[in-house]
Amino acid sequence: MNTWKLKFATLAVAAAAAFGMARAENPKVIRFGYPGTGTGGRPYVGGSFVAYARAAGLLEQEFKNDGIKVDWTFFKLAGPAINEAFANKLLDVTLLGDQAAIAGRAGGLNTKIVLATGVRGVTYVVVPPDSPIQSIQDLKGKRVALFRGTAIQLAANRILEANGLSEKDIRVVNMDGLAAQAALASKDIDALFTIGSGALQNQDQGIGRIIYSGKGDDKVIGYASGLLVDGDFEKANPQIVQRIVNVLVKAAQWSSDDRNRDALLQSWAKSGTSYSAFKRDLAGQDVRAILSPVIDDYYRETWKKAVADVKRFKFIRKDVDVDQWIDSRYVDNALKAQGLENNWTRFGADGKAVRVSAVQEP
Amino acid sequence: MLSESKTLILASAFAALHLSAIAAGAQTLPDTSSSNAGRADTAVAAEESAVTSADVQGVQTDLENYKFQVQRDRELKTAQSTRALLVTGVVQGRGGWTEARAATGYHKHTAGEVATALVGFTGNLYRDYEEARNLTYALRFVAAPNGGAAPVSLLDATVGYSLLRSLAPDDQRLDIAFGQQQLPFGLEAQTTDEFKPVITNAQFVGALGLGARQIGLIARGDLFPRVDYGYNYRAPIVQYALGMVNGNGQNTTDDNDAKDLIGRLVLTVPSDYHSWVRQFAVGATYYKGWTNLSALKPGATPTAAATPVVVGLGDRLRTGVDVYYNHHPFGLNYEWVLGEDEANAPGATVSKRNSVIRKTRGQVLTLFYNFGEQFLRGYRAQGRYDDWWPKSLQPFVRVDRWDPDIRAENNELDVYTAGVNFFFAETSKLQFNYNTRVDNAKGTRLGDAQAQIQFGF
Repeated sequence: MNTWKLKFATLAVAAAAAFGMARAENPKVIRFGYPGTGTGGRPYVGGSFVAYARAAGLLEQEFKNDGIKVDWTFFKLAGPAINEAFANKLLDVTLLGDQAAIAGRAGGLNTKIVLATGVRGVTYVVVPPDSPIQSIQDLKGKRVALFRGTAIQLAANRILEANGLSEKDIRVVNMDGLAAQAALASKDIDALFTIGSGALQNQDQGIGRIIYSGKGDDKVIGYASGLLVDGDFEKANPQIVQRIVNVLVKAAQWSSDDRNRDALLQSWAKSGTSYSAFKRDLAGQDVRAILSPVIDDYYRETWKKAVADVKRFKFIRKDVDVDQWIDSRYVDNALKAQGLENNWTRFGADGKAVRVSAVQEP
Repeated sequence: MLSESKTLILASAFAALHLSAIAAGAQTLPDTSSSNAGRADTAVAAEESAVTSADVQGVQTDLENYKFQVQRDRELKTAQSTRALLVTGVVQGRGGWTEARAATGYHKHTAGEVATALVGFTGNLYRDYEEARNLTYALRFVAAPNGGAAPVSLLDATVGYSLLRSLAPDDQRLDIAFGQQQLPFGLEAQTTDEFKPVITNAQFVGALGLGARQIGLIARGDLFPRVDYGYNYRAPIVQYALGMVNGNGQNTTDDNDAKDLIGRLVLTVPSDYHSWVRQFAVGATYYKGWTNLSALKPGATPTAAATPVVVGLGDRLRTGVDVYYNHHPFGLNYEWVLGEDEANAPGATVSKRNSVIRKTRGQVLTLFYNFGEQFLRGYRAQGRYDDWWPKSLQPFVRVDRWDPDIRAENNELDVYTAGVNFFFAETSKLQFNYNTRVDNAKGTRLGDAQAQIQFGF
């Protein structure tokens, strides 16, 4: 074989390999999960910047030119169903609350947390409007709905414990959110634990009265959530994961900008929960902090405490190493690339601000 | 807890109430007893109180129109029942080819048929919202028009009751059911059509009468449920069933005073969802029954014909062992069944019982693999505007051996089946089976193919 033929052959092989690698690097579809659905099972949700990214189609726009489809799945059975899907390789990326994520990881799921999607989550306890129940202590012996296996269960156990009770002191009825709201309306349950704006919506509907709000309750640490990626997907597609995180950091920046608050809540209202309920849920909270994508020491500590509590309440048997699990490289890259390193206040493990946001609130 | 229809009605009511609340002005919103939340809520609510009386009238008119429409549709266009009712059904349309020649008549090799058409009605006679100790009913009819006729017959007719509180997954279960129902025997006979990979049952099911319904009382329960809430996965370590039935089959009255007994025990390896031994179970079933032994009673005169009479009761025993390992995406089932049937031999008389026991044996092994998400409950419960269109593929192989008389040599009937199921909607599948039937007694080996479309609702 003469030289030019050898060069040509080498080039052809290299080109073929590069083409093959490029094809291997790009999945045809990104399977994105979300725990829960909108009212009536509609495929829109609220309460996070990921929900806004979904409503605005930001990920679809990002991958459109690459021919990569973003396939959203909204799981009625929330976190446990997401773990099942992960275990059977049916999901690549998902938002997930702390307890379900921890249970999945403890059970052997190969996942990574690559982005903070929420921290200091607020839990409410709702009772029928004419119920004599006035406090957490009054729940003793009552039929109380909570969604086992989700962040609600961990939050409920923390709240009960802070009030000298445990799950054994109440009659737990395991229900998903929509079923629990219907049962509350028909008074088939005496109370329900719920997170987010649904409690305010129940109040608006005249079917519920809030007897407990976790806002500012220092005895009970709020629940956390994160963006989880399948370990194999992340290993095979690091550049895709980076682009997903880039888009979501941009969505977080837009969502936490006070000037966009009305538009954000309108996008969340596509879920069927009212604008007003979302607005009142956020009222009195540090919205920039709860919509921060930053993985700081407080975020890590929140997950460590969640792991300790989930184990203490005996929801898992094996331990989870949070430092091995959380991978902040992607979000750090995104923040740096978009010049947003100082956009959100960073908190220390004790919850105190260690680097205040450079953004001036209007 | 609530039925879908009730949830829908409530959802409509919520929507209406929500509109009313907005229309009436945010000042009327109930305050929270939580002071920190309440102050913030009031401040936000005050911003949203700019509602005019025209707005209120508009909403009221919409509500009245909506109520009228719902009431009229319910009265004129909605099927109603006295109690909560769920209507279900399964239809199987089948086509087949065989290289076997019919013994008599036209030697056809192909056929099309509606193999089964089943419709069922289930619901609660009493719903216990306190502890879910519900009183339930089930009524199913089936038409299996093989052989030209299309008789519609009663398949199941039961009333059931949950004896234990069964609100939570970690509650132990104990349910009793009285009426005409499926025997809790083994795997093959009990598996519903939705989960059966193969079109036809294993040979022993029909030969030993295990597919036929029986009339009686059966209790089914479990002990030590292990729940992995991380996946909403429930696996009781012990499952059991005990029952007493007529033993004379379905849609008929009893033909003797002896009642047949059945007991089944299943042990499942305790595991979390993510364990490799998930859904590995070993079961055993024992059925003790009696059958009437007949003999010919000579006529009163030498020329009168002899008449058959019952001269006693013979044993009818069924013993089964099964192994079940269904670890999505793959699965393995094995079942071994021994039948013992006592019958009078020719020549038996009223004074001489002369019975013999015929022993039979069936074995079946099925292996399958699932591509797709058809069997993942959590994945099927999706929120979406359109209908879900899952596409799953399930190839399988099965080896089915039936020995009609253990004492005889080389008389087994073997059926080797390979096939694939294509699930093209949540409750519908297209099935292709190729069977090789080996009759060791005759020394024949014949092939046949079947295609079946099955849909459920």
